[in-house]
Amino acid sequence: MQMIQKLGRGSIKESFDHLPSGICFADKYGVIILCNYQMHRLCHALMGSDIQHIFELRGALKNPAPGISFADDAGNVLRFPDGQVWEFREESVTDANGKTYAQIQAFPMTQLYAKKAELEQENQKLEQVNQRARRLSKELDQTVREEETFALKMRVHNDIGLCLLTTRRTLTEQGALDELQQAGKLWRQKIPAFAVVDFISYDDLKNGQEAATSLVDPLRELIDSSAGLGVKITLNGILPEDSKLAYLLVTAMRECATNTVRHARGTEMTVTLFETARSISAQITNNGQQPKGEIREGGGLTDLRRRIEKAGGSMHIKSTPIYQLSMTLPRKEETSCSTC
Amino acid sequence: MFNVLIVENVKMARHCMEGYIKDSDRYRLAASITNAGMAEMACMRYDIDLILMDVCTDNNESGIDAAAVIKRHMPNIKIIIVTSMADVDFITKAKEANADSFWYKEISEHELLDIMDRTMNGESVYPEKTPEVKIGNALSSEFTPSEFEVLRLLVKGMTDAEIAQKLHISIPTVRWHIKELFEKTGYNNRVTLACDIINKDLIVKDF
Repeated sequence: MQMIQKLGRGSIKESFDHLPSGICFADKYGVIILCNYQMHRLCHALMGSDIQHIFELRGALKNPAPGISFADDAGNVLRFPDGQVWEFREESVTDANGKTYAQIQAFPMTQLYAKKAELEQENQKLEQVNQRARRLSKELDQTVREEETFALKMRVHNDIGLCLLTTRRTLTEQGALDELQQAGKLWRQKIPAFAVVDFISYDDLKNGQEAATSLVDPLRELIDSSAGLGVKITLNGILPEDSKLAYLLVTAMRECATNTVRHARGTEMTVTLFETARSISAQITNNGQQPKGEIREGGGLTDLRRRIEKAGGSMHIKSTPIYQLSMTLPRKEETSCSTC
Repeated sequence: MFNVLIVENVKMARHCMEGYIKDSDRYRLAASITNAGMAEMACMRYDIDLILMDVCTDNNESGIDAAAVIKRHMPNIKIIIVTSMADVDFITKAKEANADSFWYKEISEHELLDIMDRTMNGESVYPEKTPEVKIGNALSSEFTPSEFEVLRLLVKGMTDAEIAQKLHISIPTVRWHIKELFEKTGYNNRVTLACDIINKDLIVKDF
């Protein structure tokens, strides 16, 4: 209460004069009736003189003095030669007696704009990092591919070297028949590696520029990954145009390729497609070890069977004399229209 | 140095995760793929220590299903499920698939690298709850488990009778749940409700 009693007109005026924001009021004729120190200072900077009339200030805000520039598109924010940034807003206020006055306020925005500039700089840096990430990502596929091809070629080089050395020793030492058979067996084991390298080299030659976008083609991706695992996929036939059917066939190939590596330890997988007007069938075999007994369906094959049956198809697995997965998928029936 | 496999079909998110890994001195990007179905082969092909696995990937392959398969054959590989979708079932399914950790892409309070470090140290880091989504006037946390079960079938376009049969409840019970949902959300028809649920990824079909 004591504080309120001490507040007089002078105190209010003093507080108004020393506000950090600039503020001025004009009556209905535009004559300035009240203006604080900050606004005086700003008007001097804008016009080079004291403010008498609000129209002078409006004009100066539209065409500021040299050295003062606009910091926003709307023309409300000005940057002064001392580096300070101020936002100017005009509105109309009405007092208790119903008299209307024009009010122009100036708000200090220097810190905010400094932060904005800092943010823009950070964004620029971020964009540079993004560009670098995009460029590296583009190059990644090709680099990985080259590394794998090189590793495979090294493997073939070493394998062939071993075969040659073994054969040479057997021949020069006039080895027995069983030693010759062992050497022959070694050659048979290593020869499929040639096919893998041959496939990759051909693929590189054929696709060239396409390699970077190969991720979007599930069959391409599967063939690449299988080759990376040392399994060559031979596809006899063409995948159907229906993308869902085609993807289901690729899914089956993927499951079989995984099993070829994990269980059969094979190096080649052959997929043969048969098409009729109403269905498409596939038989998938590999050159790996024969299963020791009946195949027990685990997670992968069970999931594959579920997908195939959901699509209205069927799946059969044969364990002898060689492992063979057969599947049949119905084609989508043509939509018939009785009125056509 | 841990080898990381990224399984993410959204280009921007993939590049962002690749950036994190490339800037790190503890992780090396072994491969980056867009289809979770190929993740098992990638793990067989490369010596993978950690997978950042998105849930909804190319060709509608589920990252959570792929995680379950990988954990069955290669249990030593750590898997972090990453998603931006608020589907309430994802966390439960990820735990059932034995995924090690779970990270919400845009809204998680923890940094991805922090989650990766903690996961590689043997910790299982899961968010305490799914992000809240506003459906009409209601927050997703206001829906009961039974209402979610009904919603999950509703967004598939099932009728009341089909929902009742699937959930082994009566048709009036289904209608009562739907009426409750209308009251909570302020919606007055099931199409608007289903559209809002799908648009906000509160329930993601087929995953």
